[in-house]
Amino acid sequence: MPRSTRMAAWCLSLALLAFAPAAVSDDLPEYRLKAAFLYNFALFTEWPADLGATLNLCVYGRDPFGEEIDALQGKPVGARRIVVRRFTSIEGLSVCQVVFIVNPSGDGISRVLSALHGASVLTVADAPGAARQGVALNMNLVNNKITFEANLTAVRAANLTLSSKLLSLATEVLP
Amino acid sequence: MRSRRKLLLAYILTLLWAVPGTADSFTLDQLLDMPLEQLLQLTITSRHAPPLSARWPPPPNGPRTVEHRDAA
Repeated sequence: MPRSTRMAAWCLSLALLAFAPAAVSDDLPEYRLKAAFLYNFALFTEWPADLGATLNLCVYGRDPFGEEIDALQGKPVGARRIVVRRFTSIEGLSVCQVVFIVNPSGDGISRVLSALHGASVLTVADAPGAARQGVALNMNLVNNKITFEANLTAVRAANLTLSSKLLSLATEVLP
Repeated sequence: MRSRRKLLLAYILTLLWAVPGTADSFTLDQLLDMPLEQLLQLTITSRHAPPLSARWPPPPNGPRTVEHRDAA
């Protein structure tokens, strides 16, 4: 083998090995993981028996999930199947069982919660302090890992029950 | 000479095959199969940061505007 060819082979080997650690690290976008959490929230919620065959999982606001959440379409939650829907107006939310409120801030969140008051809707957000504002489940990012907190008053007001397993994994459970 | 070239090509191809690609390691389906305890341990690698103009809903006093003043 010519010396130059041998050198080229060694350089290529070294280059591949140098880039290998970056290549093997897991690529996990924020909202793919959050979509998985949303699915688990639906799984660990006790839904009213008269709900029907579908469970409408709604994103209210500018959708940060993109196609990540579309993969939940048709996934089973007990005997029901998930239907992913997106809304930009409060009026349509009456058909939802899970509402992910995008970037809740100011009076936006209180308007949504007022509109859903009394309905069997699991509200979810990912904004600091959203659980204290009345959202049932709120996701936080801590050291690039997702944690969540629960607001039991909001859950009870929606006539829903969260499993004890879900609550045991929450970082905070507001009574 | 030709056999040596073939050997070198085989070596390079083996090396390329052995190094994992940059494809996503966790698909959503894989995540859905994981228990919640395991999801809590996962570290995200890319954060979603919408541009300021994409913030939703807009602030109550309307979108931020830049005030231009003519120099006196």
